Amino acid sequence: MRENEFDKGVKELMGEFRLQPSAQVWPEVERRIRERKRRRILIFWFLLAGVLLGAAGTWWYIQSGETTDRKISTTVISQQSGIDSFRQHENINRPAAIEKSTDLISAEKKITAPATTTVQSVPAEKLAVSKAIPKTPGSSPVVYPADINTVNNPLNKTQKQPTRKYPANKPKPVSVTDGASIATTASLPNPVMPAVLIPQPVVTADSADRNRGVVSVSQSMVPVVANTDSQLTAKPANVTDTVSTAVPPVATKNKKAAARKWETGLAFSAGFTRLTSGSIAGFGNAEKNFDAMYASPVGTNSSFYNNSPLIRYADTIPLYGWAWQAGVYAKRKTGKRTAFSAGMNIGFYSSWQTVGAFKDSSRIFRLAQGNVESNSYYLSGTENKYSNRYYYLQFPLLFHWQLNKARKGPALQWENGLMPVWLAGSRAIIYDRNDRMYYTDKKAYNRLGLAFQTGMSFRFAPQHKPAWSAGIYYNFHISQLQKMNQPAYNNLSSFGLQLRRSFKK
Amino acid sequence: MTDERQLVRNCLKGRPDAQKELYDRFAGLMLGICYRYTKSLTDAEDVLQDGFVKVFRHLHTYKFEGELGAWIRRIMVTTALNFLKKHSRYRTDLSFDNNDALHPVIESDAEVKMTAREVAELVRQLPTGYQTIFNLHAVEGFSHVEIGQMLGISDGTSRSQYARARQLLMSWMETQSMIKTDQYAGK
Repeated sequence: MRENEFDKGVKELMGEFRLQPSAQVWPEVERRIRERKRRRILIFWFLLAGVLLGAAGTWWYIQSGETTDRKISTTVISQQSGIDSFRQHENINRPAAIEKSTDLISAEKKITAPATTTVQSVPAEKLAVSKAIPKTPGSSPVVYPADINTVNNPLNKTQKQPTRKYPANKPKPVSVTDGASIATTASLPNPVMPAVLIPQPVVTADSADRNRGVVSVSQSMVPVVANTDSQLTAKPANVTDTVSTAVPPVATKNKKAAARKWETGLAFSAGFTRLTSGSIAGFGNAEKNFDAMYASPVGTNSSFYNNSPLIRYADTIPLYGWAWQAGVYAKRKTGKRTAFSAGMNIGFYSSWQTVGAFKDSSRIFRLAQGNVESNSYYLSGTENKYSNRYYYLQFPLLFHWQLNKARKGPALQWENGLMPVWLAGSRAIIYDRNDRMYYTDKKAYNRLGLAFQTGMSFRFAPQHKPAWSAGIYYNFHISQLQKMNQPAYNNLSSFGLQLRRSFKK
Repeated sequence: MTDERQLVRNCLKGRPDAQKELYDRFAGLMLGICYRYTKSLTDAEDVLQDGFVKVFRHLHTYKFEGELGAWIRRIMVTTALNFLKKHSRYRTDLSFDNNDALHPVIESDAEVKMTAREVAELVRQLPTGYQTIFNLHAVEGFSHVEIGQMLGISDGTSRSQYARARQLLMSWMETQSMIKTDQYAGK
């Protein structure tokens, strides 16, 4: 009975028990709520930026392909007017001759037309196809598509011969689209302009263009236009009497492959480290040094210090230090102005802080995650300086976007990306609020993490010399540095200058 | 209640004035709760801070079923329990072993009159295990089964711990009451 009364009395008393919280509780609550909101907003913007960059990169990639195709069509039309005066040369389809026009050529699709497709004399206004006309003296010779592997295919032979440049005063060979192949026949007695059509693509001419002698190429059929000029050099009889201006797909592929080749090189950057409170903050914050007046004396647990609004723990200030990164990278163009790079580097970050006296004796620190025994420790204070060091293995995955045309000057590049990081080693001290001491514990850190990196650089690519770029960078470790005894400022970030140099041109 | 609903809605909209009002309305009562579970006012304020951050982060889960104060109170109690588990200085003391040395023998039947603050101070002087179970059962009204589930102990342990905590408190109260009586008599 007495016990029940006691319970009831206590419950009543405690139910109304109130205490007035100190003034600094609400600002801290408010700060934490806002900080979380800010972090959410930042994550949202990063994601959005990533998506936009990805979309922009894809658009650029697709767009650059379309632009090339459009250029080819235009070239075909404009060059077709010169077909009448086109001079056939025996080396016309040699790689060196093609070099000059490959910028506008994308003959990617392989021609699958049968080798028996023949040359036929076609009036300019009407082109027709004739199949399997046997090769007879005086008639138009057989044209072999470049990639058809037949014994008699002259292209297979001519490709192996030494390259000779196409004469500068002669018209360039006709460019083709999407596997279209245009060939001219040599030594044709027929005064009418001959044309060889491979069944797939077709040469068409609208009424307006026909008057100008303009012929355009579409995908359904391959036109092979021959020049009947007697000045054309006759082919050796033992090879074939047909010379094709069809662009060897192999050469185009090589050119394309060369353009998309991985560029490898060295990357180096150096700058400042700043430990932040989880939000991407700038450098130059005034709170650079731990102020002694805010430090509670070691071992003090008096109500004065615990309740004082001046109380500042040593782990509630941002720390600064040096940072450098060095490593290798591989970069590949994904579009006209876009590129992707992957790399590996060693990252060094340091942060300075003031500490008290060094104690070379063992001590057990009781943490929520378990006890930690440290063989030595520092007291809090301002007598000494300590430099924390963190060594990371980093794998930057960056998307580069060229912002200018760079026709004359260097290319201005903006890069963004993520960087998985692995903490390879550390030599740093951790602050324990309970004891107000610093101790070392290598297990207190998150080994794996993720960082965001951005930067801006100028890329210089002088002729015959390796390309190099210089600029600024900023990286921010999204994941926290310490997992145990977490300080208020627990995210590494660094800012500085970066330099890249490719291995060779 | 309508006022409370509006307050919650404004808080959910992220209005700082509403958030401050909510805090001001409940901070005093909640600090009292936190104070009973911890050993220092600083720790109590830490719990209060963590608790209110949780309150604002999870306010969208409050479905207006029951009183807002009770909902916040539950969050504060849970936060306090987590705090005790997390911090080593409490964890070492948060054992639920039987401690017979602490068993007082209550013989006096004197009437005890104390203020809420005095009772709270006495409760805080109990070993953390006793303190926690006493608070959960006597003040918050949780059953021993619920307490057992919350703390990972059997309900029997909770019962015995509570009985010992109560005996200890009662003896301390009587001692204090006697001291008070002596002081008054001395005057």
